[in-house]
Amino acid sequence: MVLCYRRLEKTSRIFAWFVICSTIVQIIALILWLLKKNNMPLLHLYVPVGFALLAWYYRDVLGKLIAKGMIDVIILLFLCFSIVNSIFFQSIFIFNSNALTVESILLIILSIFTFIVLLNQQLYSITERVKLGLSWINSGILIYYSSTLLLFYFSNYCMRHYNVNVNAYTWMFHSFASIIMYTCFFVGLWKQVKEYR
Amino acid sequence: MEAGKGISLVDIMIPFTIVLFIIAVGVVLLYAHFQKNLYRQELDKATLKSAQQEELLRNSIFIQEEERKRIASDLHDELGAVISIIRMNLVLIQQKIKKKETVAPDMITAVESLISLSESGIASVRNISHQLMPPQLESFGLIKTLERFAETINTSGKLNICLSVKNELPDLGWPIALGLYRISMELMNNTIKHAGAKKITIEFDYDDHDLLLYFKDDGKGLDLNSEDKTGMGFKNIEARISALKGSITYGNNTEHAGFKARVKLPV
Repeated sequence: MVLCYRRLEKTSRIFAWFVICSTIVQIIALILWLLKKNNMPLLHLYVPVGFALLAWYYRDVLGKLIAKGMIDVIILLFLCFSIVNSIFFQSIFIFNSNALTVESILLIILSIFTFIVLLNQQLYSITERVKLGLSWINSGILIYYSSTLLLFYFSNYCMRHYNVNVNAYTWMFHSFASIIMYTCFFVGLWKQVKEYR
Repeated sequence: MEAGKGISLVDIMIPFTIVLFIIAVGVVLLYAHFQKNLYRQELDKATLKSAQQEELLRNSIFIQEEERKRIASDLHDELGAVISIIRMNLVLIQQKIKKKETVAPDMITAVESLISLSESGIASVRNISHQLMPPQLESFGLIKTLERFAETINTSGKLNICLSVKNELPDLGWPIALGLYRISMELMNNTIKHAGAKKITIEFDYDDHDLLLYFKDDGKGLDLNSEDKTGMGFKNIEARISALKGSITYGNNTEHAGFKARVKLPV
């Protein structure tokens, strides 16, 4: 695994950190769930950190094509919004749907922008290796965040007003979208590692 | 955000979520399709560019050969003829002054020296014009011309050139015959100049579609440690082969020391 990490380009290493961060959070969340403890505070931490890592990844990849400062401002504003939301609007013990919805919208915009940039023929600032992985990673992000946007936005409402079965079905769909996203991530990273050989 | 009386939020949310999922997948598939098209376009452009470059190379080689032919012919027919007339007149002058008794001996020596110079001039013009465009190539063909060259080298005793034809060669067109002649000569010149070899083996073969030329020497081979293993001569060979739509593989002999090359040309 360390060998695979070393074979990645600098930009993809940032993305690898996001995957590592997600894996750690998922494992801790599972442990807390097994111990029958509320794992929501973890989500309040994961959303801003995850977004910052993904935005940083896009900033690094698209660095020469957009003003880096713009993404820095977006990261900063989102971190502030997420903290304010967790303190004043949605307590750390409930689902932070507001932050997740905003994160989804921002990442959908970034991924569509990236697709447009990648279709530019005169794109020499991004190496073929990074491009290869980026296409897959970007596809995963677009599919996951656009499919789960409404689920995140209405999640708290659904949990209050609908029975467990309905919620289970909606979160099953979320899991399905997650599987697609992580498969795309795996393929993207794998293609880069394979290309290195 | 209250559930409506007739229709609940879940009834709206689930289909919309599925629609969003389908849109996202659609965007990704469209992107992949566009990317594929772009890639195909770039590939077509590269193929076109490469074909244009090949055509340009072929034309430039053709023009070069035509110019060589013209210079060779001018040298041989015009300059050669002028020097021959000079020599003839000098011989006449020599005969006349020999008949006179009062001529200074210096004069006779000077005329003799001029005759000798004109003879060497005629020989030089002949050599240069033959090197530029060997007349035997057009009259007797590639193999006979190379055999003649091999004989000349072999008589010197320093190097032995073995030329063989495995299968009977088809009627080669002028560009291929001339191209193969230039390639063979360049390979042999490289060996003579740099390899310090004792023996060169050249074999021609034909397999219904391609003409094959195997070249081998027992010299010191290529310096594999050097960054620029081949020189200008080799670049010319590669350009000629590329213009004839052929291929070349070369390297050092594995069993014994020396250089080897295999040229394949479609006929």
